[in-house]
Amino acid sequence: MEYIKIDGEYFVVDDNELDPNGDPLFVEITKEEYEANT
Amino acid sequence: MSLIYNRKTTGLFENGAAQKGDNTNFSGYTTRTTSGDYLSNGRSLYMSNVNARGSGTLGAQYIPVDTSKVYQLAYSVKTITQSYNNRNGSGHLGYACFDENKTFIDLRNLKGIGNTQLTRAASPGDTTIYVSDASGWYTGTVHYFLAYMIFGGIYPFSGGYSRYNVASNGYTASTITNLGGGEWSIGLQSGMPTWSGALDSNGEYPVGTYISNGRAGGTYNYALGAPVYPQTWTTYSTVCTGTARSSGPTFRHGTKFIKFLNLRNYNYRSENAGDAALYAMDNLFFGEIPSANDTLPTSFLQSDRFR
Repeated sequence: MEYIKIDGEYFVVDDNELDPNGDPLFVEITKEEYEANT
Repeated sequence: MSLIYNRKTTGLFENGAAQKGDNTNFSGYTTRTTSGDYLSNGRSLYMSNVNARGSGTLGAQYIPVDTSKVYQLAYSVKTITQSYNNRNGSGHLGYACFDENKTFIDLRNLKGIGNTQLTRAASPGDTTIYVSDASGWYTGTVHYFLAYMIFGGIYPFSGGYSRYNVASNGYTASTITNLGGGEWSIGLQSGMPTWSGALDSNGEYPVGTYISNGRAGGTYNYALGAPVYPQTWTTYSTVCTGTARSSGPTFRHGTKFIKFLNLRNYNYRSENAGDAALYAMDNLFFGEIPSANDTLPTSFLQSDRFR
């Protein structure tokens, strides 16, 4: 799991979950969850 | 006024109310027949995997979409069994977008961030490109955001969607330079690819070619949010129409098909000391409606009248 902040949005990137193009799953998360994991 | 919802079944999901008596098109689920745990047709789709903690599941069915029309999307959900630590079922609900070739549409295929145009013609293999404005381009280190796309040929800028993209590590942030006079340069990590459909008769990407910064974001359209599902039947509904660079209800540019999407128990994905929560879904509805003011009411969406 990788946690990313950009332009006021927060995401978790999950390399174990791939989209139909084979890219990691990006899911927007709350600031609180981001801060709890970084 | 009478409304006709597209098919002899209710809405466009095939088997969205387990009408077939099985989990056809929804392999991420089994079915459940316990009284009270279904809304129609004697069974529901049942998320019965005690190890599902965040894993996504897409429906098998590609549903054709005309993005100029107005659709309602509505899923009804009920937690059946709480997790080992008393969590209800949860997770993102929505859909995935696909183009006319049934290829998944990522945000990095969509205009909307760092839209600009070439100020000098570019050729395949070039490692520097020149644009009118790169002030909105990402300058950090996350390779998923160092992406770019160009528009041309069958992917005009007006359509907002292009498969002519480099989806990660496309350029080097530190090379972005304001040259003054309305021109910026951008250093590419590899030479400009050959996208023949966008090349002119000289084999170049001509001056004026539209180019945008590609940035990853919410992978799917989480149109119904990421709720925690109550232990009573609860319906989540929204209206979908038009196109945008979107991870919400609005379709993505270029969308011709969608698929059902659920990130199972995503909200509590890291709580893995025991069984995950189990939940039922029923009366999954996606259908054209006359206008955003004509949505089907919850009383119908939770009824036994789904066929």
